Amino acid sequence: MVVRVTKRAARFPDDLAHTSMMLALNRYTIGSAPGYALKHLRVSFGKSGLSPMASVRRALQAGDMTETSTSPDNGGPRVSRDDVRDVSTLRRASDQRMVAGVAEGLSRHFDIDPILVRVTLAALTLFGGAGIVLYLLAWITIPQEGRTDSIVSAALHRDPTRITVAGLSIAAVVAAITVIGAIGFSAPEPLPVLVVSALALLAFALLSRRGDRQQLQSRPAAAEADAPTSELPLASGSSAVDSRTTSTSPRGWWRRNHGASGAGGGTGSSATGYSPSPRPPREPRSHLFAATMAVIAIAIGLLWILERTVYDGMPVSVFPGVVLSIVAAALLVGTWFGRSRLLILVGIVATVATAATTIVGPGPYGDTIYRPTAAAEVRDTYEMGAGRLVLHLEDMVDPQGLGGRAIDINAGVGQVEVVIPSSLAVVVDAQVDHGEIYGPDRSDITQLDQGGEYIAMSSADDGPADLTIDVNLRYGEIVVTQFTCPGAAATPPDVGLDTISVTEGTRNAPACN
Amino acid sequence: MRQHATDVVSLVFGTVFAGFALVWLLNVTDLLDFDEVWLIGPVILIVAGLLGLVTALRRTDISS
Repeated sequence: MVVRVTKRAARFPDDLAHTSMMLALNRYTIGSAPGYALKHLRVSFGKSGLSPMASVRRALQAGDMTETSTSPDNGGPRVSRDDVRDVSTLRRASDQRMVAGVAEGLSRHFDIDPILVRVTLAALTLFGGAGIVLYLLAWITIPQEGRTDSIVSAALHRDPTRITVAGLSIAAVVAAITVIGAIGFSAPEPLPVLVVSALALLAFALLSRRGDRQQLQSRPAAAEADAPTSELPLASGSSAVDSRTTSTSPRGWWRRNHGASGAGGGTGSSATGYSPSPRPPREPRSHLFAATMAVIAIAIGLLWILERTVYDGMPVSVFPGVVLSIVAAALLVGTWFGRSRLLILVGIVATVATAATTIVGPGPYGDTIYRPTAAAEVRDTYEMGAGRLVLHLEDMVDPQGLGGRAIDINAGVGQVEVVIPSSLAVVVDAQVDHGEIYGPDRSDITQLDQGGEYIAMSSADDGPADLTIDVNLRYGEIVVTQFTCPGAAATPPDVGLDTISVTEGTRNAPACN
Repeated sequence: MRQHATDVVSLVFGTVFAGFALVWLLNVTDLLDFDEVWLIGPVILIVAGLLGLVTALRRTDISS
C-alpha cells in the first residue's frame, strides 16, 4: 500500500455556500503554491508597538511637570510624588466602592480616575484573568480606610506596609506574566489583543490627561478667582484641594462634576471659552448610561424573540454586534450630552465578544468525537464552532460503504482530527485560514505555517478517490492520520501522529492480521 | 439634557466603536469580507485618533 501526499496549488472553491471563507482562503493558498516563498504575516508588536504610547505618556507627564513648575503658586498637584510613593497611606475606600473599594482606593492614592483603574482591571481580566487575581491580592493586602492592618497583615502580625508592598509587587508580576502570556498565546493572530490593549492604553492616556489637567485647576478658591480661564463653579473646589489630608472626601473632576450635564464631559475645556454663571452646586445625574443599558436590554430581548421565532439561524455575533452599535451611538451622544464614559467598558467587552463570535460562528462548542461504526452513520457534514472535533473512521465495519461519498467538515476555532480508513482511497482536502495542518508527512505539511491548503491522497492503486473529505478551519490545526488495520482494537481515541511513520511521502503499511 | 462641551474621550471611543460596528455589519451581511479589506480596521483607529487629536488640540489652542 502506498500513501501519496501531495501539496497542491491554489484551487478555486466550488462551494459557493462558503464564499466568504474561501475568498479569505485564496490569499493563503497562493502563498502555499509550489515555488512560492511562504509569506509570514507576523506582526511585530513588541516594544515598537507600545513605545509610541509610552512616549506620549512621557510627553504628557513632562508637559504637566513643566506647567506645574512654571506656576509655583498654584498649589501644585494635589498628590505629590512622595505621597504616591508612601504606600503606607494606601487604603481601600469605604465609600464610593463597587466591591471592596480597591479601585476607588488606588485611584485616590494615585489621583486618577477610578474608571481608569476599573477599565484596566477589566482588561487584565479579559487577558488571562489577571484582573481578578490583582483585585483579590489588593483586597487582602491593602488596609481598609480607617484601619492600619490589612487582612493579611492582621493575620500574620506583620508590618502592614510591607505586606501591601509585597502584595502589589506580586500583583504586578502576575499581571505582566499573564498579559505577555495572553499576547503570546494569540501570537498567530495578535491583532484582537493588540487592538483591545491599544484601546485600554488610549483610555488611560486620555483619562489621565484629563485628570492631570484638571488637577492644575483645583487650586484654592482665591487663586481660582484670579484665573481668567477657570470655568467651573468650584463650590467644592477648596475641599477637594484639602482632601488629601482627610482622604475621605471625594476629589477630582470626575467627582466634582459628577453628572453635571452643563460642564460634565468637557470640563477640561477651559478651552471653549465657556464662561460659567455662578450656580449653586448641584449633582444632576446623567441618565445616559442607564438609558443605554436599558436600550441594550430591550434590544437583546427582541433579538432573542426574533431568533427563536422568525429568524432561525441568526448569527450569534448579532447579539454583541447590536450591543456594540448601541454603545457606539450612545458614546457619540455622550460627546455632547450627558455622561457616557462608563460605556467605554461595555464597548470594549462588546468589541471582544463581536470579534470572537464572528470568528467562531455558529455551531457546537467543545470536544466532540464522532466514531461511526457503519457507513450509514457517517454524516455528509460536520460542524464545529470552537473546540475539538474528531472524525474517526477507523472503527467502521463496512468502510467500502463510503465509496463515492463526500464529507464536509466546517469548523471555526480549534482542532480537527480526521482518522481515515486505510482500506479506501481517500482524498483529504484540508484548508486552514490561520494555523497549521499536520498530515501523514508531518515535515512536509508544517511548511504551511500560516495556513494553506493540502491534499492527502491515500490509495491502494492510485486510482480515483472513493471518499473525499473536505476540511475547512479558520483558526487552529487540522490533523490527518491514517491507520492501516481497520478495527484494530488498540487504537486510542486520542490519535497522535506517532502512530504512523512516513518517509518521503511513502510508507510501508504494517502488516495486518 | 443640556449640551456640554465636546467630550473628546467619548468622541474617540464612539467613533472607534461605530467603525467596528459598521465593519461587523458589513461582514455579517456578506457585503464585504474583512480578511479582504482588513485595512479598514487600522484606518478606523487612525481616523478616530486623528479626530480626537484635532479636537483636543483645537480646544487647547483656544484656551491659550
